[in-house]
Amino acid sequence: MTEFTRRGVMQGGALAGASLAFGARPAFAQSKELQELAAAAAKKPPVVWSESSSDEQMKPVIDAFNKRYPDIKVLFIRNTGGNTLAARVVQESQAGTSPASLLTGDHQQFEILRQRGLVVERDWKPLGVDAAITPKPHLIATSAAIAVLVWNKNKVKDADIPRNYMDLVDPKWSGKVGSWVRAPNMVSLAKVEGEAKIRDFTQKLVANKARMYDSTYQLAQEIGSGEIDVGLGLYHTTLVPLNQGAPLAWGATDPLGVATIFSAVVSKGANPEGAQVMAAWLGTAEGANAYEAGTGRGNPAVAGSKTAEVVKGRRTSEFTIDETPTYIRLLAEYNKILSDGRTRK
Amino acid sequence: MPGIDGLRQRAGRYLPALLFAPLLWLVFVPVAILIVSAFKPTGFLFDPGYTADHVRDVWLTGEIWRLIWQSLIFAAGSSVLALFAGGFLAWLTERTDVPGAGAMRAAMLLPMAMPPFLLAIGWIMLASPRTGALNAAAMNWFGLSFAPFNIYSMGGMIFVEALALTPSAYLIMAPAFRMIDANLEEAALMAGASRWQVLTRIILPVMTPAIAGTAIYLVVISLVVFDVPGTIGIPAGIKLLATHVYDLLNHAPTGLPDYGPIGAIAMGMMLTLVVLSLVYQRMMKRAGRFVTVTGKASRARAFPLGGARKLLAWGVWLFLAVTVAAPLLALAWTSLLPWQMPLNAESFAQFTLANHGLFLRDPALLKAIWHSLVIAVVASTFTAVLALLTSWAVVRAKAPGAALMDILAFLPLAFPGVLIATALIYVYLTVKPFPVYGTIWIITIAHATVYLSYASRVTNASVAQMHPELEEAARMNGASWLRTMFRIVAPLALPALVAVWIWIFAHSLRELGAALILQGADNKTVPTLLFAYWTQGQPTKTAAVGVWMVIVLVALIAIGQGVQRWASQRQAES
Repeated sequence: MTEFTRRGVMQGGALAGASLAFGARPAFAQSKELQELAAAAAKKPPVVWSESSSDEQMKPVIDAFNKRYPDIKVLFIRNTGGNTLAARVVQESQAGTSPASLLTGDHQQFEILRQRGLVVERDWKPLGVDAAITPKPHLIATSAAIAVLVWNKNKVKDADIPRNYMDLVDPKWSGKVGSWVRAPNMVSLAKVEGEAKIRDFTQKLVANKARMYDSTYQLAQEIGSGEIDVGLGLYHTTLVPLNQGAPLAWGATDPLGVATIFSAVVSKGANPEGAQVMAAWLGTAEGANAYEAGTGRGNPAVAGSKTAEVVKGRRTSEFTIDETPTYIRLLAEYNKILSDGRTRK
Repeated sequence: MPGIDGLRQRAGRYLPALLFAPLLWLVFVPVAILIVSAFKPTGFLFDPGYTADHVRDVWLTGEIWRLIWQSLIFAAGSSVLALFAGGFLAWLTERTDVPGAGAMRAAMLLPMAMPPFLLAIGWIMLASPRTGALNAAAMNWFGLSFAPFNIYSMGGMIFVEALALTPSAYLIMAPAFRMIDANLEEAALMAGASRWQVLTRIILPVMTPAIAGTAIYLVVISLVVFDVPGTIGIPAGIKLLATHVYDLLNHAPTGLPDYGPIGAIAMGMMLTLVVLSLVYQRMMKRAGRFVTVTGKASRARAFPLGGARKLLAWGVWLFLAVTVAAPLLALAWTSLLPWQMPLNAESFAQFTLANHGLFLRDPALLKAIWHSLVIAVVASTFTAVLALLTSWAVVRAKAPGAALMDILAFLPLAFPGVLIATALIYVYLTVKPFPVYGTIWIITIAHATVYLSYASRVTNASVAQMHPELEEAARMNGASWLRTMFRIVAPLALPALVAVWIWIFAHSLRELGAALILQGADNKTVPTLLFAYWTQGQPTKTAAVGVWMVIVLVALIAIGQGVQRWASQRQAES
C-alpha cells in the first residue's frame, strides 16, 4: 500500500515529480538577478500577498521573510476560502486599481489570470528556483493538500480501522462517515484509480449517508468529538485537533491524493518585483519550512518538511497542469454528486 | 398658508427627488451590476459581449426548481413558526396583563445578540444525533435506545432559523401592537363584543399591515439566508437555493466564481421581490383602515388573561430558556474546552480558560471592535433616518414614484449580503471620487443597503398607523414641513425608529458575509475575526469569541432597550 513506485511519480503532478530533485538543492541561494529584484522591490510599495490563510498564520511567515529581506515590505490580505483570488484581481485590474502582487492558491485560478495576461511568466531558474517546482512559467509550487483517512481512536476498534478509501463505503459506517463537500480529494485519486472507480466510490459514499462538511477543519473536529467515526480529510487540517489533544488518528490512502498549491505573481500588482522575490523564497527550504510552520500546509518537494515525510515512499496521484481541463470536468461532476446526492433522492 | 394637501404637494414634489438619489445609489446601482453580470459570458462586468445563456441554463433546468421547492419548505416552515412566536409574544407583552411584560420585552431581544451562525453551532452541540447534550440526557434519563433529536435535518434547520427570526418578527409587530388605538377596543367592548371578538375582529385586522409586512420579510429573508442552511444543511446533505448560490460563489470548479448564473438567480429573486412589494403596497393602499394613532388621547386596555396569566408567563420564560439560554450555555461550555467534544462530565474535567485568554490577548481585537462599532453606529443611524423619510414619502405623501421608491427600499432583501458586497466592489473600484474600497466605509454602505429593507418595513407600518390629522394640526398652526417631521412624525415614530436602530446595530455588529467579501488590509470586524478562528478549525476559540460578542451585544441591546422605553413613555405622555 505504501510502497514508493516509479509509476506513481510519473503519474503524479508537479509536486510528486519535484520531490527528488528539489530535495537535493541547498537550503538557500541568492543569485545576482534575485539581488537586483530585491533591491528594486525595496523601493516600491508593500508586496500585497493574498491567500486563504489567516493573519495569525501568515504573520510568522512574513516575519521569517523579512529576516531574509528586511527592506521589502509585505502586506497580507486574507481571501477567505481562497476562491475569489483571481476574481478580485480581474475586477481590480479592470477598474484600474492595483491588485495584490502575490497570490497563493489553486492553479485553475492562475490559469484564468494567465489567459488574461495578468500574471508574470518567466524563467525562475535565475532566481534560484528549481525547475521541478515550476511546471509552468507562471507557477511555483508552494505547498500541497494531501488526502488522508481520519478516524476517532476511541470509537474505532483497531480491527475496524479503514485501510483505504473504499473502506469508508462499508455499511458499518453508514451515518458515521464524513467527507469534505468539495471533491478535490476524489479528483486527485481519479488520476491513478480511474474516473469510473472514483465516481462509484463518491456515489457509494453519499449513499452511505456521509455527513458533508464545508471545511475539512470542521470534518476533523467532528471526528475528534465523536459525532462521526471516520472520514476522508486533509493532512494539514487533521493536525489542528490532533495537536489540541483530540483522540484522532490518520492514515494514508493508496494512492495518496495530492493537490499542489501554487504561488503566482500578478503583473499589475504594485510590487511584482517583490512578489517574485517572495515567491522564489517560498520555494526554498527556508521559505517552505516557515510556511509549513505557520499554516500547517507543507511542501512535499522540500526534503525534511513534515509533509515530505508523509509523502515519502508512497504512491501519489495528481493530475498534471496540462490535464487541467480533465481536472475541472471531474471536479464539477464529483462536486455535484457530493453536494446534491442526498437532496436529489 | 397651505393645508395638508399643500404640504403633501410640496413635500411630495421635492422629497422623492431627494430620496431617489441615495436609493438609486445604494440599491439600484449594485442591483443593476448584478443583473448586467447575468448577461455577461464570463460574469465579469467589464468583459466584452452579452449572452442569455446563464439565464436560460439556470431557469430552464429542473435543478433550480428542485432547489426552490426545498427552499420554500424551509422558508415557509421557519417563517410561520417565527411569525406565530413573534406575533404571539408581541401581543402578550403589549396588549395583555401578562406578569413581567417589561422583562420579557428586554429578554425577547437577547436572541438578536447571537448571530445565527453561532446559534446553529450552539444547537449542533445540543441536538446533534451522536454527541448532542440533549440527546445524551434524554437517552440516559429515559433509557432510550435512539437519539430523539436530530438537528441535521430539515426540521432542525427550520427550528433554528425560526428561532433566529423570532426577534425580528417580534420587533416589527410589537410597536404596531403598542400603537393600536385603544378607542377602537373601547368602542367594540361598549357595543357588547367579547374579548375574543375584539382580538379577532379589531386587533388582528388593524395589525394586517404589520403582519403582512412581517410575513413577507420573513419569507424572503429565509429564502436568501445562508447561516443556518450552511452550518446545518450542508452536513445534512440538504441543499437550498442559498447554499447553491454559495457553491457558485465559492466552489466553482473553474476557480472563478460563477457570477453569470449567480446574477441569473438574483434576477429571479428580484422579480419575486417586486411582486411581493406590489402585493404589500396594495395592502398598504387600504391603510385608512389601519390608521390608529390619532390626535385623541387613548390608553390601551390590557387584555385580561385570567387564570392563564401565570401559565403563559412561565411558558414565555421556558421558551426563552430553551431558545436563548440553552444554546448560549452550550457555546459557553464549548469555549472552555481544549477541542470540540461532547458536553458531558468528562469534558467538564477538561475545562480551560486558554481560549478566552488567547482571544483577549489578540492585538487585532481592539481594532476590530472599534471598526465594528463605527460601522454599526453609522449604518444604523443613517438607515433609520433614510427609512423614515422613505416611508413618509411612500405611505403619507403618496408622491409620484412612491411605488418605485418602496420597491427600491425593499429590493435589497432579495440579495444575500455577499452578492450586494460583490456588486459594491465594482461600484467603489470604478467610482474614484469615493475612495472607500478596502475601508470600513464600504462595509458601512453594504450594511445600510442590506438592512434598508427591514427598516423600511418597520417605518412603513409605523407611519401607516399615524393619522394625518396630527400633521394637519401642526401645519394649521404654522409649522413648516421640516418642523412637522421633527416635532410630530419623528417623535410618534420614535419607538419604531429606536427599534430599527437597535435591530440594525445588532445585526451590523454580527454581520459576516459582506464584511468577509469586502475585507481589505485595514477593515477587519469582530465577526471576521470569529470566522478566522472557525475556518482554522478552532471551534472552541470561535465559541470564546462568540460568548464575548454575545455579552457585549446583550449589554448594548439593554442600553438600547432603556432608550426605547424612554421614547415610548415620552410618546405616551405627549
